[in-house]
Amino acid sequence: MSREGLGNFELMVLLAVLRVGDDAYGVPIARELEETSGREVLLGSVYAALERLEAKKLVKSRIGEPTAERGGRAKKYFQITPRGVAEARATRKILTALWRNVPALQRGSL
Amino acid sequence: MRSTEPPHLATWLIEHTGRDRTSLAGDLLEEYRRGRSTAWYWKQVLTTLARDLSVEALIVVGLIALYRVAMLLTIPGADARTLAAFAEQSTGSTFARYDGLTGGNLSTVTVLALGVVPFVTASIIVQLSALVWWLTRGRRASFWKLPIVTATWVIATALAVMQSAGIAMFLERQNLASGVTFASSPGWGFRLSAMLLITAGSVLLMWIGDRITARKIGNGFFLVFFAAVVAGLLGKTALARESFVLQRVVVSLAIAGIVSSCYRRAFERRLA
Repeated sequence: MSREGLGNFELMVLLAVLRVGDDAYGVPIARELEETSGREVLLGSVYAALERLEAKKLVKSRIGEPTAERGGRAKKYFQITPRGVAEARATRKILTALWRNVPALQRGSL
Repeated sequence: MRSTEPPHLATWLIEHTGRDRTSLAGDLLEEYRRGRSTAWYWKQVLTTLARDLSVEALIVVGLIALYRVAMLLTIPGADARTLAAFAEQSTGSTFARYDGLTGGNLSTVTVLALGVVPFVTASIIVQLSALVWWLTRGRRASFWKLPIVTATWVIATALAVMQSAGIAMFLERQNLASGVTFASSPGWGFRLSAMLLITAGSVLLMWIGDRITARKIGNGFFLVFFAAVVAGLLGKTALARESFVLQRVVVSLAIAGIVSSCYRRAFERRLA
């Protein structure tokens, strides 16, 4: 796991990139986050998180073809790197370990 | 029925201010055409701008602090008090205006005495000569592939060396002319240390600007320059009396900022 770790929103964006797969650019990533969280997502924040993830080399990007429905603006596709997968796994391990055996978090308790 | 085009002003703002947001603008347009509301569009644009702007504002505040701290670092051998008195008398002169562009660091002869002025001069020289060279050579090579950045750095550093030597000699000459002492120990030791320290300060500012641009936060060079002017405004009552000149400077800087950010974006498009 890298020294700086992953922020909560960064982790969510990273997982959304994985879930969307080949077609992962801004719109589907934001939609995925909105559907799972039930909250409105700011596209600008998604891009800011993606830039940070790219700087940490956890995702990589490529520019697609410009399309008419976007007024000639190209899409920017994101893909998780092997390092990103390793980071996601490591984070899950830590979070699951922290989650375990905490009575207050059990179903039915306050 | 509502238009398929989102508000023009919002689109313009997201595309033409600060960093490159082409992909984001495309995403917003796509979502809008799929039925998102105009209010949603504006909210996305304004929140993004507010966040980016707050980062830039923090950097400017940090840079202003840097200029103010640097004002305490008068180069060895120069008498800051005599200079301050001289600056007080020279309100409205070229000296006072130039002082404002260095955040008040020229009149106190600190390590930032030249500010980014050598870099401004070098940029103008390099870009004009590159344009002439390119036009006369039948536009064979791509204009954007010319070593503009390297040439600007080399010439800016050379100018900083020459101009800091100029400052040192100016200080020594003042000694002879009026009897007041600006440089307490004239000679090559004073000249060389002045050249070294002022050049280093100038290069440091260029480097900070370059880092800000490289991290895609905004136009680093513009932020460094803008912070100097604001720092000068905050510190110099002598300059504040010249409100008309300052208004012109601030307005032209604002225009320069907009032009340079558009220019940078045109440059990036060509590369893509």
